[in-house]
Amino acid sequence: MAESAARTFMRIRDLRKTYEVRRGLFGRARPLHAVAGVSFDVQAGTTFGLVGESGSGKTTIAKMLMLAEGPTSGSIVIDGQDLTALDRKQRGQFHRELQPVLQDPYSSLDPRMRIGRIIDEPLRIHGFGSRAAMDARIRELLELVGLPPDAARRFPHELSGGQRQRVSIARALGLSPKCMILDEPVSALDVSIQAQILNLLKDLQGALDLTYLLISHDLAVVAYMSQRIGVLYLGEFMEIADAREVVTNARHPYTQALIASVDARSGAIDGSAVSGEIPSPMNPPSGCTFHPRCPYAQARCRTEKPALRPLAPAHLVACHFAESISAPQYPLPTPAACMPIRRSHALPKEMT
Amino acid sequence: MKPILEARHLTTMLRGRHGGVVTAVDNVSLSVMPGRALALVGESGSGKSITCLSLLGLLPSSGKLVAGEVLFKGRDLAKLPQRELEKIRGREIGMILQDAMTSLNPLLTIGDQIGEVFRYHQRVRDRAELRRRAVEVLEKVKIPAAAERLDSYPFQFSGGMRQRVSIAINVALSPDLLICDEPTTALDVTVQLQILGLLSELQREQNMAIVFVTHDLHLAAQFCDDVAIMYGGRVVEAGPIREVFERPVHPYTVGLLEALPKLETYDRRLLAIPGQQPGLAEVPRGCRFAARCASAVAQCHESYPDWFEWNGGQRRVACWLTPQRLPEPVAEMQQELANG
Repeated sequence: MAESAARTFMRIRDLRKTYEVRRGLFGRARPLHAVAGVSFDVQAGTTFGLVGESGSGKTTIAKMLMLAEGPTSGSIVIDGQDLTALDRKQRGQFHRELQPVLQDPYSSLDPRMRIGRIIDEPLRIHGFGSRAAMDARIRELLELVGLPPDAARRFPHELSGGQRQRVSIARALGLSPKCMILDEPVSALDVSIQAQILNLLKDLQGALDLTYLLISHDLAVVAYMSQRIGVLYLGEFMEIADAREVVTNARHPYTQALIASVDARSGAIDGSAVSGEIPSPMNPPSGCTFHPRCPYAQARCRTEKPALRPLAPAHLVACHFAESISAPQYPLPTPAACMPIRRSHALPKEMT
Repeated sequence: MKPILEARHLTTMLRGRHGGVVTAVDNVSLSVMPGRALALVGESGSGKSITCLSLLGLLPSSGKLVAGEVLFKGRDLAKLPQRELEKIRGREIGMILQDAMTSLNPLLTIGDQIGEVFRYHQRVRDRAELRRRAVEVLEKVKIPAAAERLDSYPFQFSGGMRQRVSIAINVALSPDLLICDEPTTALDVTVQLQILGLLSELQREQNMAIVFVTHDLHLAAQFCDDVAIMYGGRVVEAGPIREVFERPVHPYTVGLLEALPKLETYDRRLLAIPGQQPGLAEVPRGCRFAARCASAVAQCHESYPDWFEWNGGQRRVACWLTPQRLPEPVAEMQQELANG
């Protein structure tokens, strides 16, 4: 594919976010490490998937990328711009490049605005042009996301969940961004609608050369959409690898547990796989943060924190015993089938 | 073996806010065998939760079971008065809801809420005895340090632990049937597996039958023996879950399985089902799925399909095209039957 032209679009180094949390009115403030030092690169035109459960810090990372929260430390370079060094005007410009699509299409659209107005709001704010130009743009965007032109006059409550999510996507695309942050874009949707939206996002990516950062708790969705996957747990990466590597050769026990949760073939449930619940990030466990729940944990895991180290080129794992933990076995898909899927339905010419 | 619960032709109507009446559950028949888990799978609005409420006589005041019978151990629950039903619910049939925070009383301690089951159904009055029994059931659902947790309130528990408490309350009297409505949807994925593992274990120990309502096909496949797939208020396909998922016949089941992201085919394009489920107020005359179905013929739009059954009624499908779509050995059998 476009590997030869691969260009790093996002470069995140040792990103940290610490909140000060106070218990009670006069309680001492204690640090909560929501994101505890993550580094990753996202290539232009590809999807990077962040997987993790609640409290893993995936949404905090997204907020920092969208300038909604400032990082405590670390650097974010997106498309050549250092986000921590932007001034007010540059920040405004930056928002045109990176747009969010959020989880719940019920609460992310203003119920009192017509769809047309919802979609053209970012256009108005960024001074897109004349009324006629904006109307033409709205029609174009609606067609792009597969909605009929008359949808512009409807209210959100007249649309189904899937249609609303299409509206959020149209709104995000309005300013021709280079990148979209997809925060659980399909978790609120039914299975048959999920596939429609995922395919739409894939087609748009191919047609408009978009870069995606996809956040989800569902590893199957992430594997379907992403070229590269990072598995987060308590604000740290447990494993980063290409999608194929994660699916066929996951080495971190936590990644394997996530795989078990979406693996329909495993038959009977093995309740013993991962025990306990996610610990409080206020008081993370010593050593490897996953050790209290890990079926393979040994004494070393309690005291010594495993570094995120390369197991193979482009496959990073934070586990002392990654070599000795065998991956769940999958039939290998044929290499030809691994190509990212590019547009399969006609899109307006000027968009391609 | 006789089914422990058999629902026949359940039809439930709901009164809308604006005076309209819709059929939320339309002619649904289900059977649950003792000790087996039945997955009731469908998308939101397919009527799976209303079906459950209809089984238990717990419909909201805007809903009414207008036809059908619910045979549980030979009695028709649909005809029992509320007082009799109250004796059955909690003792012989348990029910677990999606979010335990809404099913537990936030003002009562865990111990009190578990004790209530024994007070109400077994007239246990001795406080020490109630506590002893509550500890016993908490241990059954693997809550560590059960005796110390008795005086805690629900908000002091995590989501997974609350769901365990809710399970404890519902299995305390060893019911024969447990109805679980999306019991793990609100939980993190690793905790989901733990809760299902626990339910599996309890099911085996107590030989409970389970009705597991879910939209998650992965979980259903891992946890259940049988499946009934609902669409637009009707059951469209039912049978042993492995068989149904391996050789689906109804175009909706086929479509649903194709549309589901799966790890083993993560690099193959998903085939989305076009369109969306019809709203309850706009149900078509014929097959509910016809408008979205690629293989629909004129007949599909005109009349609702009959059931096609095989394997002694274990497998059933409501689709006019079933004979053409059946896996071959069964098709041959059908041919033989047709020839006399």
